[in-house]
Amino acid sequence: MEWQFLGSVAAATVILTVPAHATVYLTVEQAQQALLPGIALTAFPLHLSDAQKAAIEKQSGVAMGKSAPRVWRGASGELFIVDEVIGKHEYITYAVALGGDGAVRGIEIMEYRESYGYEVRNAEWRHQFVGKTAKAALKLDGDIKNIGGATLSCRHVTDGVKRLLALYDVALK
Amino acid sequence: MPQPAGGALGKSACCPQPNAQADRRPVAGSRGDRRDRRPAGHAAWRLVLAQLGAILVILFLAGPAAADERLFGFINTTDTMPHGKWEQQDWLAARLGKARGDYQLYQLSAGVDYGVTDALQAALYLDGHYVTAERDSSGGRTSGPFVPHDVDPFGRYASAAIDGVTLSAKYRLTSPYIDGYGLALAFQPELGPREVSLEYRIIGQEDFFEDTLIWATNLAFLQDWQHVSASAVDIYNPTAPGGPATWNRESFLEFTTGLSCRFAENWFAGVEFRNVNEFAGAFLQRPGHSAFFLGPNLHYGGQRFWVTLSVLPQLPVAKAYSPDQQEVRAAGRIYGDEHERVEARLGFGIQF
Repeated sequence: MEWQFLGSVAAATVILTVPAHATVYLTVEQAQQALLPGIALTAFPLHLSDAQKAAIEKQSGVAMGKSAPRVWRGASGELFIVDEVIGKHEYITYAVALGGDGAVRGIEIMEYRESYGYEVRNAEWRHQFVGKTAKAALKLDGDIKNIGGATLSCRHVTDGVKRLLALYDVALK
Repeated sequence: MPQPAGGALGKSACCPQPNAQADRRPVAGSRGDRRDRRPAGHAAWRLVLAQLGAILVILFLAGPAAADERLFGFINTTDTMPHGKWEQQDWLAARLGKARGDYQLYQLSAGVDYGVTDALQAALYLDGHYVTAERDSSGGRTSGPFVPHDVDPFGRYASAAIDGVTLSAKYRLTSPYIDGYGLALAFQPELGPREVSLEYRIIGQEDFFEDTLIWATNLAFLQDWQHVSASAVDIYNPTAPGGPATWNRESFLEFTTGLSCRFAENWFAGVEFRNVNEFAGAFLQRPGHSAFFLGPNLHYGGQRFWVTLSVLPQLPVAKAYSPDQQEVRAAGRIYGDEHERVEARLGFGIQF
């Protein structure tokens, strides 16, 4: 009898798992214009070796996982990078712009798929990253203030930026 | 978020006498005595099913979405609702199978969680149950939690009832996302006309691999008071006197630990271990039994709702410390008014 019950609830669980819908706030082009307005950007093919991935992980302390950053370059060495980090269950797509000196010019949340934690889109919170370089600690509740109720998203986006700054140091400098 | 009513620590939920024997029924008029409700039992159960169906429909229509998600069925994590946010949570606990015959107990807890602050969460739940049993004790009598002790011992019994309300408060001291480990305290009173319990819980959590592997551990202490009505005679031995109305006291220590790992987008799966220790008296005076459970869990989290299923069979390594508990121990498992072969929980959460 118990297996009939368990089978029923398992079936109900599967039925309920409809796919998630992303909220797209910015397209790549819109994010480029927001972060590096007026700058012509060219796609830069990025192929990281295992050694480079290991170096990024070691420097940032953040796993590469399935991260596959897409990179665009500007004429003066500016970089525009799109990457993803896990929120709670869904991926958060975000963009980071770096100046020619490797310092953060700004970050944007492009796609957010979860009902809580979207406060990471807050401009004031994102502004904390401006000027940060690969030497910055980028620690939540350290040099990056947390947003109550959005801790997991803040932590993962902060880790993501840290990873991209290590990427710059290892492969894009 | 409260544990389902009457099943938080595997407490007997209706057993009017601590360490009651399987076939020696306690006095009449105890908490389990719901004979007058029997005709309404199936109707009430249909109502419960209808409510569950409605929840499923709402969740399906709500589409994907998730915050204080419960990755585990029997273990709390240190996450709390964000300040000012609401979540409806519904838990169906199924306790299935005894030493023999048929025994099924379904306990539904429906309520809301609210973020008082980002670190303090409060909850209010309404608890009910449906039970059906037939000759399930080792002696072949119809018995078990929520089965009145004066029913036909060789017939089927079924009933449903509202049991009371559960309040809950959880306060997070440290966050695994900031401090490296999570620590929280929870207090959960359960109030009903014939049973009152107080649960105190310490919750620990540590996350690994960018929060894709979660390890949570709980230590809970529960005090339970069950009302026993006055009775002129012992219904199982009409020549023996009954007794005055009183409150029976039990206490429990529960240790739970488990892992939950993200294995695909939106999906977590893992394993949970649970050890329940029952004592006579409100302050762990006399040990009754120690039961062990181990089983898998599965969790889906979307944008606006989540679903968690945990299925924990009882391991055949239970220990009985008192003569009464030794009588309800069979094939290494504790049954009687205490536990079942399989204890499962299905939880839904939907955020507003």
